[in-house]
Amino acid sequence: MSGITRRRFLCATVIGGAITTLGSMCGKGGKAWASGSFEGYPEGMGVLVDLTRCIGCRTCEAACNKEQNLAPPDRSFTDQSVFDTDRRTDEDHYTVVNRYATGEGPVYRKIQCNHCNEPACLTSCFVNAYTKTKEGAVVYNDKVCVGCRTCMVACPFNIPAYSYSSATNPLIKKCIFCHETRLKNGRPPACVEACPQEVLTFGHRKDLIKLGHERIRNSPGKYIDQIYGEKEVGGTGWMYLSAVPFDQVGFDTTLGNEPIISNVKDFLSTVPMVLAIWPALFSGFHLLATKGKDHGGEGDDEGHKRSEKEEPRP
Amino acid sequence: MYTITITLCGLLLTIMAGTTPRAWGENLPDRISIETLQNLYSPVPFEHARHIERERDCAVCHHHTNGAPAANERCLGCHRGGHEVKTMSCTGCHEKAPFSAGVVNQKFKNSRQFHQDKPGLMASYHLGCIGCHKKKGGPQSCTGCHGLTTHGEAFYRTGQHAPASGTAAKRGH
Ligand code: SF4
Ligand code: SF4
Repeated sequence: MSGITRRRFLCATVIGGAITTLGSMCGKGGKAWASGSFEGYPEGMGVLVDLTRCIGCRTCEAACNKEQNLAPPDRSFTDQSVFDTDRRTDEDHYTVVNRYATGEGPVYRKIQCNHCNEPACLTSCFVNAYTKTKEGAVVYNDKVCVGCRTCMVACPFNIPAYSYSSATNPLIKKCIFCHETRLKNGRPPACVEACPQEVLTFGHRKDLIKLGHERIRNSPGKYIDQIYGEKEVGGTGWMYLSAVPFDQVGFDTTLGNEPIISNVKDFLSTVPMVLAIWPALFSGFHLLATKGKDHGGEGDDEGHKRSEKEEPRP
Repeated sequence: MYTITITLCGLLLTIMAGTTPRAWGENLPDRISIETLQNLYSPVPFEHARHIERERDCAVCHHHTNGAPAANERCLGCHRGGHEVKTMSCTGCHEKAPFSAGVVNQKFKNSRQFHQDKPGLMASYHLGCIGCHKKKGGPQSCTGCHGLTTHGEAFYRTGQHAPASGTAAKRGH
């Protein structure tokens, strides 16, 4: 934790101050990452999702809705017609279950934040809104978020969603592994606890990898010989077992095993110019934003944090 | 082989009981109300005797606990049969809270212990029941076995808690 926080702190500080030194500092941090010195949280928690067990009952969705106090759904959680469309997570649904037609019959897949070991959202966020907790959750601070949506673009799984509906809501919205209400207090996530089929096995990530491989070995021919998320993008906290090839059930199998930050970092070290441009760009955003505020919030746009919280509009 | 042993066990029990109760031995319940986890759903009226009649082999559900060799080949290394365990009910081995910090940390500390991948109580029922019902045509929908309670209706937003039709879009956009 300290490694990533320190480097990101340095980068952020430098953005605010001396732009000229930025390139070298970030470049240095990037090299350290590339050498693999940051190994995530070996004692962190995770969830092993066994797709062969899921029956599409959507109990996990209902449990998440209740636990996270999300808006009431348009359709009841017993309504199976939702499977007719491919859904993604949004501000009112931190987790959704999708159905895929495969040669083995319908396969259901629950999606939510995968709580990466080296989260692209975290490393891409220039105001340090994200934290990877020691328990393994990727959480965010909505008071810090400025709504630039960089994390949304950076996430390889398309998870962070934005809330535009209410001025009092935070800007980022995503699964937080039930960190606040459960994980940090030693309780399993709500969806895990509610799933009748134990599709979701909660445990230490290390244990889950072992357990996943045992499950594959103990039922020859049942599973694809891979735990999706064991290595992908540097490893994720939530990992998957499947009986059908992962790309047939909506997984991106082209992501590779390097954390997304490595790509960003390579790009940044080859084109240090960008580093000089970015802060200017964001300062520009900020100026625009402040200007908007001065004129009674008229210039409010998606590019900055809304001000209604402090000055409610009629 | 184990089927024969079980059948023999069954016969023995019947003889010992002196009568021919539906469920092979008078100490085997004909009907069980599964209600230990009752919350969102009402208790399951489980027809034990009917399941015995259809399945015959106790080990399919009870594994090795009645003293018969385990049905799963992988378990035979240890559970070749011969000794009964204290309790044959599911609750005897399967945890009601399989992911409590205690259970999870115990596994982490003692990673070589057996039965690491033992499902919790709720999953044992569902994996076992639905798995078999799929093969043999038993009920597979949630309410096929247990009805929703009012608490359950509120949780799933259904029944009297269903979203009013037409007012589905609760947001302005
Ligand atoms: S871990 Fe919590 S926030 Fe994340 S999907 Fe499950 S219930 Fe929702
Ligand atoms: S609660 Fe479990 S079985 Fe039901 S849809 Fe969610 S993951 Fe699948």
